[in-house]
Amino acid sequence: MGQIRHHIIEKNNNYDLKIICDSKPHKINDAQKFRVVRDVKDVIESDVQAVFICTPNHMIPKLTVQCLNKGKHVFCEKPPGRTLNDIKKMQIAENMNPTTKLMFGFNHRYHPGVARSKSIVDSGRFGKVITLQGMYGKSGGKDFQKSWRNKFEISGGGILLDQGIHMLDLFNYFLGKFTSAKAFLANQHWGFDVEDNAVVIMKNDQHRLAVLHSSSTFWKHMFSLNIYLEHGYLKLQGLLSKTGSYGRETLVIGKRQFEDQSEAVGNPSEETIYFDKDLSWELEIGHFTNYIMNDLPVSESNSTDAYNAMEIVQRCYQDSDYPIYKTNF
Amino acid sequence: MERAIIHTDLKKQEIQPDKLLEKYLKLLKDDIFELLPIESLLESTCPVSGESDIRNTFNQIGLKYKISKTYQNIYLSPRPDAVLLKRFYVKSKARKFWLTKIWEATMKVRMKKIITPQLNWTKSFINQYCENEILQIAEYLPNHWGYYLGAKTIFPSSNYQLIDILFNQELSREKIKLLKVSDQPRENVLDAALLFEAIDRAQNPQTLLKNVSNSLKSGGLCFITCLLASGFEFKTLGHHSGIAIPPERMNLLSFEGINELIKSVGCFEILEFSTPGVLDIPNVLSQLPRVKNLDFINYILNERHDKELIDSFHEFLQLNRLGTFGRIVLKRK
Repeated sequence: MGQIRHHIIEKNNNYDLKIICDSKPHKINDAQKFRVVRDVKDVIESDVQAVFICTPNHMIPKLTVQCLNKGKHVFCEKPPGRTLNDIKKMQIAENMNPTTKLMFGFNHRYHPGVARSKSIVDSGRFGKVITLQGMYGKSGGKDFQKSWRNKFEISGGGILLDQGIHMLDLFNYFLGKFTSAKAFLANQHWGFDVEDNAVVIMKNDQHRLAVLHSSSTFWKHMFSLNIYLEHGYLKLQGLLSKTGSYGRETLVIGKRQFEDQSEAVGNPSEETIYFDKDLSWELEIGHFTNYIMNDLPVSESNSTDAYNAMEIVQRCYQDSDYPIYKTNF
Repeated sequence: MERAIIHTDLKKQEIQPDKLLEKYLKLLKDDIFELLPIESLLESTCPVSGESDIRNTFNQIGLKYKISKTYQNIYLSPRPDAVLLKRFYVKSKARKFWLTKIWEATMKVRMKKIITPQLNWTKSFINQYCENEILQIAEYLPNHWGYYLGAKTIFPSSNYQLIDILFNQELSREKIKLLKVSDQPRENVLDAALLFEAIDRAQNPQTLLKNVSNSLKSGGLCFITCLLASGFEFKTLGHHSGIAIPPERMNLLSFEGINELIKSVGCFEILEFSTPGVLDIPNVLSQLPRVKNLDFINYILNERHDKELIDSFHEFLQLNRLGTFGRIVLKRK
C-alpha cells in the first residue's frame, strides 16, 4: 500500500514528499528525492504537515495518535487498527487536536462503479435501498500463510477485518445505521487462528437487511455488490485494479417492471456500464488535500465512518464462537 | 472512458408508426422543394476536418450528402445557412406534422423509453460531478419540447433553458410558448449542456461545441446524443439506411469524426462514449431485401432463426461502439 500511496502523492502537485519510513529502506526507489528513515520517531518529530500511515494494523493507532498530537494531518490505511478501542483512541486524539484532519483509506467509495451507484441511489430515482448483498474475496496464494494479515497479534482479525471491512464501509455508505449483526466464521481451509471465511447478516433500525460473504477461499479474486431498491436494482461486479484480477468493473442498472410495464416479469430492461479508468486513489487523496487546504471537516471516510465499520466487525467477532475473539474482546 | 450497453423493449413502431412516418416524409419532400431551393444552398466541406475530398455521395429527398475521405463523416452539401435552416424548421409543414401528430401519438412511449431514461442518464453524471444544488442546464438546438417537459420532473429545482430552438413555439403547449429562449448563454455559467442530436442538426458542429465549451463552467458536463455514420446500420445499408434525412441530419459523424471534433475543440475530457442504440438490427432487417451482397448478415439476422445469436450480436455492436446511436459525456477541463 505504501508504494501505491507514494506513487499517487508524487503525482499530486500539492504534496512535496519529504520522508519515507520503511523497515527495508534499500527497497525504496528514487531515494535521493527524499529522506529514507527506519525509525518512526524521525517522522513524528519532523516538520512535515501530513503523514500517510501504511503499516500493519497493530502499529496504526499508536502512530496515528502520535502524529495527531504533533499537529500533523493523518491519512490512515484501513482497517483502523485491530479493535474498536483502537479507533476510539484515535478519535480522542483527533478531538484533542481540532486543527488536524484524520481520514481513512476506504478507497472503494471512489471507484467509478461505486461513485455512479451512489449518485443513482442519492438521486432517489429508484426509491430507498431495501437490501444489500455483497461478496468480496480473494484467492489467497502461495505465501498467504506467512502473511502478517493472518496473524492475530498483528492483524487483529482475518479476511473480514482485512478485506471485508471495505464492503462493510460500503454497506454503511449506502444504507447504514445497522443495529444488529450476526456472523458465522470459519477457518477450515487455511487453518489460521483468524477466519478465512465470514458470512455476516445485518439489520438496520429501519429493518433493512444486508448480507456479506467475505472469503480468502474464492480462488478467483472477486467483488460483487448488489443494491436492491424500491423501484430497481444496481449490480456492481468487478473492480478496476492494477492487475485486473478482480475483473472488469461493471454496473448493471435495472428498473423494476411488473406485468403492466413489461412482457417478461422478473427480467427487466437493463443498462450495463463498463468502466475502464480507476481514479479512486487520486480522487481519495484529492479529497484529503481539499480538507486540509480549505480547512474543511472530513466528510467522507472520516473517523466516524471508520468507527461504524469497525463496530460491525467487532460485533461479528463477538457473535462468533471463535475462542480467540472471545478471549480478546 | 466508460461505455454502456442497454437492453430495452423499445420498438421502432412505437416511436415511428409507419403510416405517420410515410406522411411525414411526403410532406418533407414538398418542404424541401419549396423552402430549400437549390440556388439558396451553400457548398460545404467536411464539418470536422474541413477537407473537400470525398469518398462518395448520395441523394436523399432531393438533397445531396457527401462522405468525407478521412473520417467518413456524412454531411449535407450543399446545405442551408443558419438563418435559412431556422426558417425551414418554423415554416415546414412536415415539422408541424411531426410536432402535432407524430409527437402527440408517440409522446407517452418517447417520454417513458427515451426521454426519461436519457435525462436520468444525465442526472446520474450530474449528481456525481456537480455539487451545486441549483443547476444551470441548457439544451441546445432542440427541435421539440419533450426534454424540456421531462426536465421539469427530473430536474425540478434547476434552471433549464433552451438555446437556439428549432421548432415553432406557437405549436407548443402554453408553458413553452411563454418560455424565454436565448441564442447563447453567458460564458462560464452552465453546469450542464445537453446536445440531444444537436450536432446532427447543427449548421456548424465545431462552432456549436466551441460555444458550449465557452458557456460551461470548469468541470461542467456536456451530454451528446447523435447518430453515427460508423454504426452498423449505415455501414451495412449505405444510402438505403433511413438515418440520413435532410435537412434535420445535417451531419452524421463517424466514431472517429466525433472524437476528432472533440479533440479539435480541445478543452474536454471524454467520460463516456457508448453506442447503446437498439434499432440497428430492426432497421437493417427491414431494408435487407433492398441491398445486395449481404448474405452473411442475412444469415445471422434472418436465416439462422436464433434469438440468442441476434441478442449477442446486438451486444457485440454496443460493446464495441459499433451501433448507430451514440451517447457521449464530456467534462469541461
